[in-house]
Amino acid sequence: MTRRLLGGDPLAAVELFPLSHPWAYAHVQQAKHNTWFPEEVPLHDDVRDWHERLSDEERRAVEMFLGFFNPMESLVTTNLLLSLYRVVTAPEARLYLARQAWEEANHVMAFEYVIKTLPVDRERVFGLHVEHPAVAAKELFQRQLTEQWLVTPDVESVEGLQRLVRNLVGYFVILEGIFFYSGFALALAFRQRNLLRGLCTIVDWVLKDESLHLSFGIHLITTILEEHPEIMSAAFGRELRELILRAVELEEAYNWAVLPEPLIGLDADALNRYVRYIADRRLEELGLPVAFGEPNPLRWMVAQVDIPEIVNFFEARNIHYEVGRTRW
Amino acid sequence: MVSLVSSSLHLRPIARDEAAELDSRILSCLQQLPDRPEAEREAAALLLEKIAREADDGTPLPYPEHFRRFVERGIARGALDPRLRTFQLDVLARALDPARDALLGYAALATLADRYLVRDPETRQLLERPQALFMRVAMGLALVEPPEMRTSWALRWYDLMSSLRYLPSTPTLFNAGTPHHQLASCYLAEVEDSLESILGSAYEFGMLAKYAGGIGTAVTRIRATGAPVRGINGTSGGLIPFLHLYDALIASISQGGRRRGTMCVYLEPWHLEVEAFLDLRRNAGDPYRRTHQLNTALWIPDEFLRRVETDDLWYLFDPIVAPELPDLVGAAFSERYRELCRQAETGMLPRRAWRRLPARELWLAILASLMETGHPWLTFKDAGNLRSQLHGIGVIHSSNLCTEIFLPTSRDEVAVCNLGSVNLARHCSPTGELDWEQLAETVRLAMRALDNVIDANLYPSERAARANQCNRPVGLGLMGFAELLARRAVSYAEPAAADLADHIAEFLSYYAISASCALAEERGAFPNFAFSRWAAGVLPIDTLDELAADRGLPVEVDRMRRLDWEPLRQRVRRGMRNGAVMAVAPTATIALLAGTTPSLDPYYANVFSRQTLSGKFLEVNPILVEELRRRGLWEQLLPGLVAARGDLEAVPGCPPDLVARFPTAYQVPAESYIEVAARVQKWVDMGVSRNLYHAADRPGQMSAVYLAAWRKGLKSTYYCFVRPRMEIEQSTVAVNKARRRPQWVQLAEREVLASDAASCRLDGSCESCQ
Repeated sequence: MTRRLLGGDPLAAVELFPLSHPWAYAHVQQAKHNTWFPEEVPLHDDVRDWHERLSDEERRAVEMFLGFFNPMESLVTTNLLLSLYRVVTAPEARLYLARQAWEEANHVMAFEYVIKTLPVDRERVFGLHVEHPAVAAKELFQRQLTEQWLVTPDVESVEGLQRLVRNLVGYFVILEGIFFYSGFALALAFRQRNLLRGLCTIVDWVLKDESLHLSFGIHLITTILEEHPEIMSAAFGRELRELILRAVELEEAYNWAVLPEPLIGLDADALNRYVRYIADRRLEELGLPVAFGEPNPLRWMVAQVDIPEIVNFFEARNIHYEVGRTRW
Repeated sequence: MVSLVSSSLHLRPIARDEAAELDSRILSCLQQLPDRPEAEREAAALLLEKIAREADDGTPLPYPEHFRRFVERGIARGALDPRLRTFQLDVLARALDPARDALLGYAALATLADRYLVRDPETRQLLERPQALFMRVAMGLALVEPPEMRTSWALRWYDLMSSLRYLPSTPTLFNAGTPHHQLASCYLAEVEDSLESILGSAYEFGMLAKYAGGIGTAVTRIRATGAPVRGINGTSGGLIPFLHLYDALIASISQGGRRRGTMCVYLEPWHLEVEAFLDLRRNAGDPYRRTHQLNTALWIPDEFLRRVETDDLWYLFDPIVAPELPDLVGAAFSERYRELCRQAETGMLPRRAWRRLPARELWLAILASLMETGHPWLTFKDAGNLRSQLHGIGVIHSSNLCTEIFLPTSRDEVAVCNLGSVNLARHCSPTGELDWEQLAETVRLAMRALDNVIDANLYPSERAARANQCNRPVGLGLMGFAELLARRAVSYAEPAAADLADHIAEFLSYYAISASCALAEERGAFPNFAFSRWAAGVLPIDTLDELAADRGLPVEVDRMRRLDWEPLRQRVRRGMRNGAVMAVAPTATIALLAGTTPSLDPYYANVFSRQTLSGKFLEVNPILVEELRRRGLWEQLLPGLVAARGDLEAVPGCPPDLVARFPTAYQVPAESYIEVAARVQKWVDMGVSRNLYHAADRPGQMSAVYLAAWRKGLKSTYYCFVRPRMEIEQSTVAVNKARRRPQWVQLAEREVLASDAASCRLDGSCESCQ
């Protein structure tokens, strides 16, 4: 029974091979190669930028960014361990969930490292997710997804599986695939102007991890849908689509709070059009109809993310080396 | 040409809102890239205007006026050398050519504005505009000429540099003509096995780094952990903690934000602590035994690689029992090393002072570290020494920060080298026909400029001043090779690429040596000339056979020559101005300024970004853009080009001839990079910094590449780029249609499904070797 993706014996010891879901194990292997630690990134120049080059509005935007990411990464860990580890029982998939939980913890520590190095208003940053309505709304949205699933975890009924998929979409697709990508664009906009390059290197690394999480999540969701085609009813598709559209609204409100005034190189309107563009892509990935049909307004993300990067190694940290490759 | 994206857009004295308005306009141009390549020119023009407004207090002046004012203000504010007044300033002012500003791309201007242009020391206001920079540097180089000649030399060098035919290295561009005229790129030192030397060197390294010198230092002599320490009744903590000290030191010196303090430590692989050395750059483990800023390199004797090839044992020693090994090279090293092995086996050495392991085990650990961390760089001690024109004057104990300098060091001498590079792409027609005559003229002018740096330089250290005067080394290199190939429609992977490299290197070497002879005739030979190989009429090409004889192995490189070297040989016997003349440096930053490809490096991809201290710049292979436009395919293929991450093979509808002509760096076999370097190294008396790009991702597969580098007589290799397996999801490309699985997942899946591969013995028996 342990070979079942879902609903096997949750207490059984691991028998990894033979693999029934090799894609999951492939993700574990790649995740291993991507191992990094925040202390590898010097923040020296970021501290100088903060003092010498950032405007007050820019500092505020960075604080909002940190105040969102730091607690939100921990929600992902919680959901992985409390919601998913209980019911996802294929050993190779569990291995990945455990690994991902560690990565999320590493991200928390990474943002902690930034918050404790930059002269930000720490109390404000740590309190934002409670005190700022736009951040709190996103947190509540995620929290409810976990709560709704934990009421009665059930992977035998169609209704139960639908709630599980809803949870997966909420975390892998919405939080990690939309909210985080919007945040990355905000941070990388600073690098466009050669600011906060240390923080942006951390973002590059987080982005690499999140990209893998998202990929795993999409595999997990599509595998469940393939194994249980009955759950993807027209009504359920509409429900997922609405969930995503609701998230877009929350993100748009949040971005207006982060960027009440345009900064050089980025404003809330453009960022929100980017959010809608990303949301369309997530809908596509789930096989749902797109909602906005807008072009990508942030073409500069081409240089920041989409194309191969060569690092002048005396001047920036190269994040492209992969560890754990010692098999000959 | 199509370069862009980010930079420091904070320039002071123009009113803040005016600056912000220009910044916004610049960014909005940059954000149109890569869709509209013209936007890069527009951004560059705006940035030029911004620089001019700041430098001229709000209203750009005509260049002659700007220049006169710049010199006066610069001197008054302590930013320029007062001796600049000794030139005919009006003549120089009229010579500034505003049209040449247009040669500078956006990335070049952003980098200049961020770090190179002279600023007011107090207010940080920019004082200098780009053409004034080229003139200021030319003047700094001409300061050692007789007063009546200074103006005319400055004019010639201004023309040479502002046309981007030649650029000196960054420290010269930073500091020439300023009161802090430290113009040399590289310092090579050796740390002795004493606390006095370790700490004294730390002080010296700090001073060298302050003025933009990069440091390479040998640390092989430092005793290993557990070695006795006299006088304190204790034992040593070994090499590693001291390297951590140097790491912290170098990180603390940021060169005023213009360049990061940089240093590379060299260790010979027989040091007892070599395995801990391999771990220095790993991202896990005790942070006090790690060095995140320090670069590491191995200084490998032939004996080690011979034992790797024959699958023999390798012995590690505490240098305290083998203090003579760092000074021995080639066969003499091997002889002594074997004697030490014998002593170890017969109980004549303390048991804690040696260890043995299979040579291949260490070799694979080295390659694994290289793959995972990019370190240590692999450099070859015996080729470095046996092919040195200064062999006999002193032992070379390491290369430098960028692995192209090979000069002797000792307790009393810190070697210094100043560098400059010829831009091949500015000596050719649009289709890559080289103008050889102009190239020869450039080399002549460049060699004189480099020779002047030796006398103009402000030495931050006494030991450095001494060594530089005795050997007077300079390092002429090149850039733009890949652009030249692209223009000629030759792929880097073709044999024609290596032939061209051979041809160019021979030509540059011939004219560099000729120029140094001419300088010797005018100014006298370098003081150590009589002890050098030059005096014996030995040319760099001759030393290939000496290396082969010492190794007892052929050096596998084509010996063809195109020029008549015999008359030059006779002239060389009479005197050389410089103990060393050529070194091919990586030129990462000056190539960006010159708008061409660095050194011998390929285009990384046909669209890629370059992450530097001054920003992240997007680059599209400009020759490809021209070609696509000519064929009317640009608009059609651009979206695919980004989606394919610059790999034409993956662009639907791309003509096959273009796919073959414009490979990405990883599509060129690593063997081709080695071959090009070998054919250049053949002619170069110092070294060739060779970046390598590996598509293979197993140490076993990389072994063959590095062993070929050694057999072909390379003196060094430099950065090791390994193609990342996983690709980050693209943000602007809507390729991720429903349920299409990324290619890397499919590949990785196949791999995990394959049964456990036998571990590799480097004998071709395992799957990944085949």
